[in-house]
Amino acid sequence: MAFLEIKNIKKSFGSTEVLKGIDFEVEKGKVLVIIGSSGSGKTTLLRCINFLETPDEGEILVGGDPVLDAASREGRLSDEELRRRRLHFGLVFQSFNLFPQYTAKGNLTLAATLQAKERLKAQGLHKNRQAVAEEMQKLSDKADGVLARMGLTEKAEFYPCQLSGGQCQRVAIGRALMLDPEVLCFDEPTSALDPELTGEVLRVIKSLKDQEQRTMIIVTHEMEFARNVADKVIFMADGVIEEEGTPEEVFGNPQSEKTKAFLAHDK
Amino acid sequence: MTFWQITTELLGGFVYTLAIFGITLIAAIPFGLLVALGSMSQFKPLNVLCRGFVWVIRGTPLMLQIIVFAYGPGLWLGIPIRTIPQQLLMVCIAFSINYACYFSEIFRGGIESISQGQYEAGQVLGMTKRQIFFKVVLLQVIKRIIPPMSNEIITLVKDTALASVVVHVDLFTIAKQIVNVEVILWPLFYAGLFYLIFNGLLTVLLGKLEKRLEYFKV
Ligand SMILES: Nc1ncnc2c1ncn2[C@@H]1O[C@H](COP(=O)(O)OP(=O)(O)OP(=O)(O)O)[C@@H](O)[C@H]1O
Ligand SMILES: [Mg+2]
Repeated sequence: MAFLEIKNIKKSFGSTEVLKGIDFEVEKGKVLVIIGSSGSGKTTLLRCINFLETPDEGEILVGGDPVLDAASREGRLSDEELRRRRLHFGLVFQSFNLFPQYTAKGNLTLAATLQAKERLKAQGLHKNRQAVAEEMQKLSDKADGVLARMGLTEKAEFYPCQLSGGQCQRVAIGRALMLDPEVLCFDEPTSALDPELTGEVLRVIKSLKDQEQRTMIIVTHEMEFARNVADKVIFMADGVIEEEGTPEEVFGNPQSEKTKAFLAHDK
Repeated sequence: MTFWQITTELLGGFVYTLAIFGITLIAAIPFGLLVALGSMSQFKPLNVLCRGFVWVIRGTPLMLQIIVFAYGPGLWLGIPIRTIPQQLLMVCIAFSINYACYFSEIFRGGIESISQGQYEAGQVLGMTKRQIFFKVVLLQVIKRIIPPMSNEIITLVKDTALASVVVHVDLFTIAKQIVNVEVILWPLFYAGLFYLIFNGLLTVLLGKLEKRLEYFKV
């Protein structure tokens, strides 16, 4: 049994079926790269996994536990339960979506702080100054650590508008890491960047694999990077998985005509 | 009348002008926010009601609305509005409703201008709707609406002169009375100077607020 199991995810918008039954698995600590032409449904898939869209059909299991089951009659999840479940996953957006009024460090600590406060409140400790201060200090230290790993120690107190695109995207990655997601998803993390800035972001993502063995799903158009970082590659076309395999298999010896055409076009 | 007498008279009127301005501002902001939320609501009847209301209020003269509120109760409800405090109250209500509608459109525009990505980023970080609104969206909305709100606020200062159709105590009315009695024109310009200086102060204040939020871009 794999760590992350995605089973038969289907999603339509109106009458257009965007995902036509997606199945795959990711082992713990492994990196899955998803490639595919524009409109093939990659973003929609990541959005389903992160509960930004509700799939019409399908199941998602993490560590064997069902996290999402479109068929089940459990009704609409409570907001509370939905929040708890989506924290299995983290998502880094193409356009960063940083919170502009917070510093880099503020972006990292905002959600974590709110969650820590809720936790303290649940334990009846929210009025205990010392407990709160300790918790906040822990978060601050953790954020400093994450910023250091992102190579952003010097930029901790900078606002997003004072940072380059590459720096912004590294803040966004750090922000997702702060909540310790079990699976971290990236939707074309370098597409909005100037070519000379993609390297720094790709290096950071690679380091998450090499140094932390993070389980990741990465949608990207950077083929060189995909080959380099992937344990498994999926090629999507028109809402289905057209081809799946190791990077050597998919890039070196593609079987499907569509994959061949896509890879040839991309060169 | 001496210059000083005229000055004191005008100052007396200015106090009422300030009162109308202040009360309207304080009442119209929360009311406008409610109307804005109503006109963004998914609940159709509420949505249509709020948008219709805004359409009527913005589509008719403020002067007409003031007259309706000042004389309507006496004509249709048998509750004549006679004393100055009553008249002032009705004028303030008319102003508040009118400005709430203009404010509501500014608030709605401001809230709708925040990108979906901000909400989604909050969601994937496990924030609640409330937290996203108060911790992420609100300050961005405030920053966005300061310039159009400044415009409306400055217009409101000048619009208070419209109160003179029903209640004869505000700065502009007093100035007109002096002009009629003394047969001199300059008190009107003098009154204009009061408006000008007050608006100057407001402009500086609002500009400061805008500056304070310059540290980030939305
Ligand atoms: N909210 C929506 N409503 C209607 N159609 C949508 C919606 N979101 C996506 N689609 C459609 O679904 C299809 C797949 O879109 P998606 O964004 O998932 O593709 P993608 O593989 O991420 O493409 P790209 O490489 O351009 O990012 C597209 O045809 C798109 O128009
Ligand atoms: Mg996409």
